[in-house]
Amino acid sequence: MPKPEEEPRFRLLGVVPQEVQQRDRQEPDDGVFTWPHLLIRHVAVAAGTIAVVFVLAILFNAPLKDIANPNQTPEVAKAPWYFAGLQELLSHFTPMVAGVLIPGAALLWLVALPYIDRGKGWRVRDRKYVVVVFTVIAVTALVLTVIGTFFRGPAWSWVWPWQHMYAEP
Amino acid sequence: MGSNGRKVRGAGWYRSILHPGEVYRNSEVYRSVVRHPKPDTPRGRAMTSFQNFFLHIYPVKVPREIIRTRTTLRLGFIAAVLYGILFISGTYLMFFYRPTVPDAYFDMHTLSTSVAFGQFVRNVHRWSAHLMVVIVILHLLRVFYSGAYRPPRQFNWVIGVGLLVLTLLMSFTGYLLPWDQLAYWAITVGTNIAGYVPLFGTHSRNLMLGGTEVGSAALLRFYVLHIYFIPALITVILSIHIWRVRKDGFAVSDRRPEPEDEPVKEMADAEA
Repeated sequence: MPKPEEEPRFRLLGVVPQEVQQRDRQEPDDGVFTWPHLLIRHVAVAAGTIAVVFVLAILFNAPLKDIANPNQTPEVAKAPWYFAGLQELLSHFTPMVAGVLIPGAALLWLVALPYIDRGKGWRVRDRKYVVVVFTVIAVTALVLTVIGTFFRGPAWSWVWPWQHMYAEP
Repeated sequence: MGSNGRKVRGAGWYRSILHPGEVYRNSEVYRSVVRHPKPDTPRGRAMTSFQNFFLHIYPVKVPREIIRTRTTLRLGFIAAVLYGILFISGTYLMFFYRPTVPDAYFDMHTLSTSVAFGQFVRNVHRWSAHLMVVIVILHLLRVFYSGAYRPPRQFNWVIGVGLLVLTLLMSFTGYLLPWDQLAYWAITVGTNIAGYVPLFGTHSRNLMLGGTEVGSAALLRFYVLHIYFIPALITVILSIHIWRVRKDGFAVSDRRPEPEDEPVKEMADAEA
C-alpha cells in the first residue's frame, strides 16, 4: 500500500468521442486569408462572368417569334434544349419507359449516389463502379441532348445540322 | 492599425493632401459604417471577415488549395454570380411585363423597341439563364469526378441535385413568359412529358398549367413560380448549400495525407 503522496491521482474531466478529435484535426491551420487571396479571385471571376454575359447579349438577340397561336403548330416543336434529350428518348420508347422509368431511375440514382458509393476513397480508382455508371448516364444524356437539339427536324426526322438548323435558343 | 490612425490624425494637415482617403477613412461617419481596421495585418484581415456582413459568408481563412482555380474551377461561384445577374436583370424586366394574354407578347415587343436597354437586359437575362443551366451541370460533373460528395458531404450533394432540378424548373417556367410561338410550343411539348407520369401524370400536368392546355392560367402560374416561388426556394436552399460547404471545410481538407493516421488506417483495413 503506497503512501497517499506517492499515489498517482487522476480526475476525469470529460470524455470526447474519437470522431470529434478527428474533425478538429482536419481544420486547416495552414489556410490562407480569405481577404484578399480568395476574394480578389472571386471578384475577378465575377467580373469575367459579367463580361462574357454582356458580350453574348450584345452579339445575339434573344428570339421573339410570332404571338403564341394554339391553332398553328409550327414545323418543329421542340422542348427547351435541356429537355431535348428527354424528347429524343420519347421518340424511341413508350412514354412510360422513356418519360418516367429511365429519367426517374437516373435521377434517383443521382440523389442516392453518396449513399450507394461504398468505395474507400475519393480517387477515381477507389470508386470505379460509381464512376462507370455515372459516366454512362452523363454521356447518354449528352448524346441524346445533342441529337434532340441539333439533329432533329419536322416530325422529329433526322436532319443534319448543316442542312438545316432547327435548334432554337 | 488603430494607433496608426491616431498618429495620422495628429500628423498635420499636409498629410491630407498626400493621402486624401485618410481623412474620410478616419472620419466618424466612415468608421461607424466600416468598423474593421485596415486589412493589411492578419488581425485586420480577420476583423474584415468578422465585421462585414457580406464577407461573413466566407471563413476568415480557407484551405490553400481553394486559391488554385483548378481545384474547383470556381463553377459553383460562377453559378451564384449568374443567379445574381438573373435577379437584377429579371427585376428590370418585371417593370415592363404583364403576365396576361395577350399583353405579355406586346410587352415583349415594347421592351425590345421602346424601353431603354430593354432588348439588352432581356438578352442578358436569357443568355445568363442558359449559361446558368450549363454551369450548374458542369459543377455537378466537377463535384462528382473529384469525389467531393463523399462523407461528410453526402447530404450537400443531395441538396445540390435539388438545386439543379430547381434551376431547370426556373429556366423552364421563364421559357413560357414571352408568349410567342417558340415559348408556347416548347412548353406544350415539355409539359406533355410530365403528363406521362402514371397516376399523377395528367393531374400534375393540369395542376402545372391550371387547365388542360397552355393558356392564360398557365402563363400566370409560370409567372408566379418564376418570379417568386422558385427564386425564394433557391435562395434558401442555396444558402444551406453554401453554409454546408463552409462548415465541412471545403472539399480539400480531407484529401491531404495525414502521416500519423495512415498506418492506423492500413492496420484497420488489414484486419477487416
